[in-house]
Amino acid sequence: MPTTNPEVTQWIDQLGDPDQVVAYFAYQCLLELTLRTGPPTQAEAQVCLATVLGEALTAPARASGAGAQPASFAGNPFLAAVASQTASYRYAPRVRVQLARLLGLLPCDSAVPFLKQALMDLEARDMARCSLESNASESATEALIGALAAVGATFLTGVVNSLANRSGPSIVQALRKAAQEPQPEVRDAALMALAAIPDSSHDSIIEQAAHTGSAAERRLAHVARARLAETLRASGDKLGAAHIYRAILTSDAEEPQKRAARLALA
Amino acid sequence: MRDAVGRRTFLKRSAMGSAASLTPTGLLAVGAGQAQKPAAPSERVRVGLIGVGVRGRDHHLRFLGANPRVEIAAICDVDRSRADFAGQLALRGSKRRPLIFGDFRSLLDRKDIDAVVIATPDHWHSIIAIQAMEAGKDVYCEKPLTLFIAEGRRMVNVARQYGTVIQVGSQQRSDWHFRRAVALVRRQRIGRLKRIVTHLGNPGTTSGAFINPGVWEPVQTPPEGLDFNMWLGPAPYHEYSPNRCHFEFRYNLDHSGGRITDWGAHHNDIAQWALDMDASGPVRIEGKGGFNKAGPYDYANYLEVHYTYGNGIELVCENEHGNGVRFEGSDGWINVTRLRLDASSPEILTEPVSGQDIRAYDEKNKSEEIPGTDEHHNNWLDCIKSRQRCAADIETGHRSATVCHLGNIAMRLGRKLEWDPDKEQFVGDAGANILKDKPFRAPWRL
Repeated sequence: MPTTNPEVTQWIDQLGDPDQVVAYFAYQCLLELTLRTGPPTQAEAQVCLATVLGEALTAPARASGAGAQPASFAGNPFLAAVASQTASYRYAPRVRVQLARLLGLLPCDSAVPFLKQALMDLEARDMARCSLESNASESATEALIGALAAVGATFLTGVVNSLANRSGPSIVQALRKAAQEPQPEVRDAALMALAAIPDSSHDSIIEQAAHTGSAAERRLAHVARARLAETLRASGDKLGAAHIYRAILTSDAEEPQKRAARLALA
Repeated sequence: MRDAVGRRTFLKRSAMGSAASLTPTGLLAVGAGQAQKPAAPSERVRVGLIGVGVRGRDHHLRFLGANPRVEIAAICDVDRSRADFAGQLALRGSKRRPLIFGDFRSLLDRKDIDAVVIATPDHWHSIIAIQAMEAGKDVYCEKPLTLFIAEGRRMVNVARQYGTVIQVGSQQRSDWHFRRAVALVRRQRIGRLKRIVTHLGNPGTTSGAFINPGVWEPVQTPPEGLDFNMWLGPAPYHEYSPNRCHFEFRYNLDHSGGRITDWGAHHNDIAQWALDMDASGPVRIEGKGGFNKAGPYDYANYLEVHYTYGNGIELVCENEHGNGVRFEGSDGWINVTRLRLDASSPEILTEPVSGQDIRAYDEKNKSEEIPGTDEHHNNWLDCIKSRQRCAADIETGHRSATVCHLGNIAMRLGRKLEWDPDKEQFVGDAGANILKDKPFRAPWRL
């Protein structure tokens, strides 16, 4: 097992340096190291670096830190729950975001457990989500699907967007469920994600959305429908695409989508 | 009215017709003299400008605002002071007051806008362009078309699906010097082409690098009127600092590709054209880049990238020896900049070149073409009317930007890379393939 450059831990510490030049330099050194650890021949080094970066990303605050639960919370279940769910980290949010980002550049599974854990970190979770999106492994997919149980419409929208670049039964199931979300932005993202998967059965979900919701939601559903048609056409399902395009022509879709349908059917 | 069939009538008819009308055009249609007749208001293209910083204002508003075929109908910028200032400028010589927006989506919702010009930082191009195309607008998108490789293919696909006329702002495709140079090379006036060198250094020189490491500035509150979160959009979050925002975006790799995309989108685009690789690209890349670890700008200050194409021809891209493109053949060389066209022998340049068999150049248009004039916009407007593809169509813009991104990736990784231009992916290098794509900050998506 290769050992990590001893400077790495020093650079990680320096990411939070109040002198922005020092912090910048440290990040650039870590970035260069991460990128150059990427070749397939360096699998062991990738694991080693992922571990160092990941442990720093998820490292708890030292014992005497602010995260220690005050004794006064005893007897107050709500405040105790607040304290238990307020993780206190060793590194500042900006540093954790950078560490999460670096982990996304390593093409190995070893980064995933740390990124999955960081999905619980409210300040670093969107970058962790981005890095999981860059990781093609099954475990990254599972972590992203699991993140759909989180709260926050913007974050959930990001998770759905990340899933849009993948395929497989578990993805489809998760996206179909997300298409029923009460939060419209998540729902919209799910429709767009379903439109990127070549499966003509998604049309019924999208078509239904084109009849409900606000004018903006309906318009987006029509755009998603046209996207699905094109996804099908590109995958070789020309009949499926033509069926949707013909349906668009007779729907209340806007002119650009009807024009795309006419172009495709001509 | 210029023609019996007006633009809107034509659009309506073409919408009833087929995609076949959107076919590649040669550059023969780039007629500089075509724009001088005033068009009737109903025939004018109603344009929305999205992003009115230096480029959007001093180039697009300047030229399109004076173009009788155009009405500047709307202006959008996340910096209110810039939007208002551009709006005031647009009022000069116009009877109509342009609408002002801070969010491009509101502009795209307007049914009375025909086309948009996107002159935002690079990290916004793909999202805005795709939404514009899906809203039925024709598009002029500044170069480089993309910030990363994967988004370009998606943009091309949407453009084809919607029959969008899209011009990429690599305006050297409409510039007399470059068009003639490409025509001469493709007609083998320098013999068999062996090597192309693109110089991305200081413009107007034949020597000298372009180096700008930047100056550190403290993080601060964004100025009033600037919606900095919207400025960042899909890019990773950063606290505001003036050296990241507005014109300075081009030196920060979260918002741009740096020098190799800023100028490479011009000169590497010309190389791709001369190589007849508008729908393809190199197969091997190796690069050295001088990334400034002292900051604040993180782009490659020094760069030297060697590309090899499938036909064995080499493209070298560097930034230490002036600005322009040099073509080296078995029988001579041609050097072209925005100001000059030189060759190893005067005879190479004196022989007339007909535009009939090489789409790069039409001798008849020569006298009209003066650097800094409006051929590229006029080509776009011509194509909006004819529904033909533009001189710098989106596929060429995507491929040229890809060449630049490949160089950046090779420099950052510091290893030789193999690229499959058909599948648009690296061969046997998962680490490199990660860099083809960049996840967007929530909630943004393509």
